[in-house]
Amino acid sequence: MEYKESLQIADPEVTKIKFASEVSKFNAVAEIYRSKGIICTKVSFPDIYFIFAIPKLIPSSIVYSVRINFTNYDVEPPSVVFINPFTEELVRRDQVPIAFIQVNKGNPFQPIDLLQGDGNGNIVPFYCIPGVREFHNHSAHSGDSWFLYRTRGEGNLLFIIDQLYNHSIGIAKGYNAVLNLSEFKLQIHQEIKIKP
Amino acid sequence: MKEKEEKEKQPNLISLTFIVNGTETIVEKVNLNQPLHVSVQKALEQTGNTGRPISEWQVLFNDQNLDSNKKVEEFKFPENAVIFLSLKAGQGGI
Repeated sequence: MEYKESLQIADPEVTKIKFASEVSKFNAVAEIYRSKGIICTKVSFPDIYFIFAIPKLIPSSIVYSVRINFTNYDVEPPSVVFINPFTEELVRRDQVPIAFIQVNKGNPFQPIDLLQGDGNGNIVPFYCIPGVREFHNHSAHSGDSWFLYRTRGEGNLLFIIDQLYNHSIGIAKGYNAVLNLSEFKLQIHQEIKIKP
Repeated sequence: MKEKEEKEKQPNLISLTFIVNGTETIVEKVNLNQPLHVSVQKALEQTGNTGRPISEWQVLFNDQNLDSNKKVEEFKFPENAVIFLSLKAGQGGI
């Protein structure tokens, strides 16, 4: 999968100051977000890494992990890519085991999955909402410029985190899992169904 | 001690903690009998988020969407309740 990085055309010092401001706003509420299962694992300009878990389910698991990139911010909005939380490699859509549900205003009975991508790995999965770089760079949204949203709330770090959370693990109520255990060549399949 | 005395004097008034697009703010002296949207509006003002109508904000407590037209007392918020205000995402998908 190929990920196209943006070229830094804004003054790098401005982007650095704005990045630091976004990180500092997150740090002020980091504990509250941690209790919701949103944990910052690394800050390395221009990137900030998060894992999203579901603390209300036991056992908790990491549902997905993202890298939010602030290159060229805020001439461009941040980029959101989904990564393996352990290796930081990009993942395919089918490796993110959750849907990001949004009610479709045109057809309320057919909700939209906001995480677009395919299982072949041809497309880097992208979070398709205004305020995310991949949305505004997509040819289908050429009429929906970032400059219509910039400074209105969309595109800041906590907006993106809230949107990722609210459309996925915020609405998760339970999950099914199968544990495959092996001991002395004996395969044991144990199904666990967990509800909060 | 003073806080306790004030509570006894004004049992209908509480404080509510909001996180507005990631910024924490406390709205003081919230009357339990007033609709929640009054406090939501104050929280938006206190955090400088006045450019968008209240209808464009999602009001969430414990991951549940709240109807801000209901009275505050109907929600029975615990003492350390944190209410999240998040902008509703624009229509996504392609």
